[in-house]
Amino acid sequence: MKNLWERLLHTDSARRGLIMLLIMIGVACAAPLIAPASPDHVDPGARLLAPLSRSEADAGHPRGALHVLGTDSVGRDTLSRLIYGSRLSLMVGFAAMLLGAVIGTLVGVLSGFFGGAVEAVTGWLIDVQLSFPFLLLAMFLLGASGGGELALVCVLALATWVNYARIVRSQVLSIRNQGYVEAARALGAGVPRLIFVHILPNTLTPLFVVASFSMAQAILTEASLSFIGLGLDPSLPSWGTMLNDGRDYLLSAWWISTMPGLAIGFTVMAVLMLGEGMREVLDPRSSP
Amino acid sequence: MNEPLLSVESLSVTFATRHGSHTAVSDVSFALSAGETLGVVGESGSGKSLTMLSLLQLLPNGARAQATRARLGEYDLLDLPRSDLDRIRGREIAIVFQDPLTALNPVVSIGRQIIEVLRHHFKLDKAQARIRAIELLARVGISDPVLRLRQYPHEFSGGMRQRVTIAMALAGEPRILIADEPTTALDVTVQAQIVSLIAGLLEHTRMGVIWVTHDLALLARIADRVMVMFAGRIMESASCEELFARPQHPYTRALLANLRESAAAPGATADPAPQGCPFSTRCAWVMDTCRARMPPVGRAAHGGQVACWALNP
Repeated sequence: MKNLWERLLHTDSARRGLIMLLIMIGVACAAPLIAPASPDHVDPGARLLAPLSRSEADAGHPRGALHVLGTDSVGRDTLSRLIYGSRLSLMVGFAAMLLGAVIGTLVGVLSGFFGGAVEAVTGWLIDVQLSFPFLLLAMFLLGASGGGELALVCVLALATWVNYARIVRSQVLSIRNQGYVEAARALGAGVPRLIFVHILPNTLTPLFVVASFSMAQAILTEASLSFIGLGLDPSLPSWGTMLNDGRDYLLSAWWISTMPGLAIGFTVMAVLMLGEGMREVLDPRSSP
Repeated sequence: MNEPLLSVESLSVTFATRHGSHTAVSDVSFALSAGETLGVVGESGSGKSLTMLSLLQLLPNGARAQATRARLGEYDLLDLPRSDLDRIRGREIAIVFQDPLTALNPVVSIGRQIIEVLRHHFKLDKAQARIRAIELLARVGISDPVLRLRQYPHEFSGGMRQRVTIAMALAGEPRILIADEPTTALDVTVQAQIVSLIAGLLEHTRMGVIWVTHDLALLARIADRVMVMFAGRIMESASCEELFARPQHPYTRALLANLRESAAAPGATADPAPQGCPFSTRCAWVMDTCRARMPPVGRAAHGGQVACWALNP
């Protein structure tokens, strides 16, 4: 594992992706320290201000507050909302990735290891999932559950677990016939030990790659669901809801939608670069 | 002779295929006493490995083993509850496999793999198991075991990996060790080291060993008794000295002649006759009876047993 890290850090794309992602995580963690204003501070006098303009002077700000990225339709500071929004977007993306990974891996391992009826049932589940238009499913589930972060994470996990299940299953199918699995069985290892000690660690590497791509997918999907008004509460600062807020002002106040769009692009690119680097490192044909 | 550790009578292994069932091993009987080394010799496909795997219920999917008797102490090996099976594997019977390159998990450290086995069979905490693992590695001749414990299989050579798998097999202090061609995948000098290692390890134990190989010359050095298999059947079995001094069965004779002259045995690979003696297609002494019926296993002139119509009409 240590070796893996070192090689990862020596891969250009992985290193850049990692640095970009760490910047985003740092920004999200330090939001209260670096945000110039509260994300919910409404200033009716400073509506739709362009980037780098100042609001009217008041008691707190004798020269007027500087809005580096402008303000939205109710006068909230775009930069502050962007910074706070990173928390929600990253968290939702990460949680969805984790939940999807756990469910998908579990299904994949069971299906690959036991075969037979278990494989038939899980294969059926995967087919059902794949044959259902995701947006329809998401609209139905979010509508029925009333939305909220938890429901959103579950829906996003639902969108990605299939990726894990399929790759883990194919890995397990080849690993379960390896000599060391039979050898471990011959020395008395039971099913849980075979799975957790001998099979799962061998599936981890491709799993990391899938996880990074799925996280990017989750962040994007969260943004699109929030954009159509199905995701998070519109008053919460998240990149998706910000995109939605700016929809009506695309021509007059372009910055409201553009800034969160750039943030999404930046983060997704960071995660994808990390995933690309991992794939490069983990591909045995590219190892030194 | 005291009660044997392991006794097997009329063991057969059949594969269910789409075209009906195929018998890979039939009517195999043998016994193993404590401290004894039984050599099983035969060419590829002679059913020697399947026989061993069936004892631990490790047969591949679709294969079924049956026997009138397969006893190890109080256990009936072919009819074990799940809980007993986990206790027998590694604790009563341990196997060392042919290919050390695949027998170790590449992403788990050597130490953890040995400790897992130890803690499965004995009530040990992590520190105690670690000490036992270090002792085991030292016992199989791995230098600097404390350092080696932390390393991964790719940091070991083939011979060293086979030493590790032997350490893992010994971890459960089994009563029976099955060595399934443990030296086949190694180069010649390392083979000799591994053979003398196992022989040395066994010297002061009462462990019974079944050594499966296609190398008759190797068995001459280490086995007490030798069982010759062909096409899933026992052709001949006798004490080691007798078998080499007075081979009875034409197949055994061909093998030994082969050893001396390093010439090919007559006939192609095992292409067993549909009925009768499987060796009849290659045998120099073949008679009409041989093609019609399989000869029973009977007493042989050297005190062992042989299945041949020409010798036991």
